[in-house]
Amino acid sequence: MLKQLIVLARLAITGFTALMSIGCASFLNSPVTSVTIDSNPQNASFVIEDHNGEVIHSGTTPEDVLLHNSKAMYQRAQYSVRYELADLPPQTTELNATLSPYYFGNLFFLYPGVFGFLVIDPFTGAIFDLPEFHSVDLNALSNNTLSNDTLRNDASALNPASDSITVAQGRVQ
Amino acid sequence: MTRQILTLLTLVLVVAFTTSCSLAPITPRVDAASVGKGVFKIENNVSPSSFSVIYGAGEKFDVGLDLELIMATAWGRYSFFNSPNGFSLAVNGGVFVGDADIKSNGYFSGLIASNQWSPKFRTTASVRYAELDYQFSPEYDDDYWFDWYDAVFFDNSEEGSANIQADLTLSFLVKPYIELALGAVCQHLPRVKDSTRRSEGCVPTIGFSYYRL
Repeated sequence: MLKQLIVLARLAITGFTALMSIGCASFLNSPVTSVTIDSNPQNASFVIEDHNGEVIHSGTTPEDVLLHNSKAMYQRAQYSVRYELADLPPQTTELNATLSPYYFGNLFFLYPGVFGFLVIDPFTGAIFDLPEFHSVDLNALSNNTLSNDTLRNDASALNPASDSITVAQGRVQ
Repeated sequence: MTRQILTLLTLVLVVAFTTSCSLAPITPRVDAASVGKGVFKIENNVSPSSFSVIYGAGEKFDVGLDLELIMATAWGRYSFFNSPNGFSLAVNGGVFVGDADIKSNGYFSGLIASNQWSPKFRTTASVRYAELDYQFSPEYDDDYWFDWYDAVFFDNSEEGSANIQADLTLSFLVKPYIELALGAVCQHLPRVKDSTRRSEGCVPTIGFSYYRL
């Protein structure tokens, strides 16, 4: 009887280990996302830079771009997208990945688990998600610029860390 | 999506209960081609249960660490015919140690051949020979329910100290970064002369390989 219990216990451990060892997010999510880069108005040129500032893609809106959700294990992807269109001021926006809800399936479902949570999903990058649609209204910033023009003599309105610097650079160009 | 999850869960449950263990590492090799210099790959077998991390130390040379239920193995693989899109041939070797209810340690070497028939399908065959020392805990004997489980238990440690294994694996790329590996691994203990006690048998293998895109 004891031996049978031991065998059953070993089988249970085997099964439990196996069930714990599959990454939930890796199966239900993808480590890359097709992101639609769009703008209003369209036909704006855009450049995507990664966290190191290296250009990884350039094109014209609208365009679908495949982007990695992570830059390394446990590190979400961070991109910046710079838009330029004719007379409108260029804009730079951040495109950052967020934790995928599928990742937490490792905790709540039976078959994924420790290995999936700690190793597999972080390894594949499927623990993060990028938005499938990323767009910017270039006219909106242009309107803001006009509004700011009325205040340009007010030094307190100029914040070096704000988008107004980007807009100003754009106007110089 | 629910159907896919249920199918996967059922498959995992069925195979998990056919999992065996061995005195020598039983993790099947699913590719003879190198993963590539500086590249990591994770192999996660459901049956037999194991977890492996593989690293491309050179263009044709990989190192790996396998963790099985009762055993840990450090190994290296040199792919002297290295064609990830075609036929590859490799030699591998490693050392292992197990210190659970069965104590076992030794070394192995083997040969691996694989052919990538299409971008989504590969077959791999492997054979390896292991020399080992082992010791059972006193409470174990041959009286087990399942023949495949009984297969690796011997009274005479000398008889089980040589282990030949062969495995055949079919690998399917189910996602651009996930491979499903199905196959079987068989073992033979050549020093066992008593045919009634000779341990020969095969167990099914199922596993997943994870790549980083």
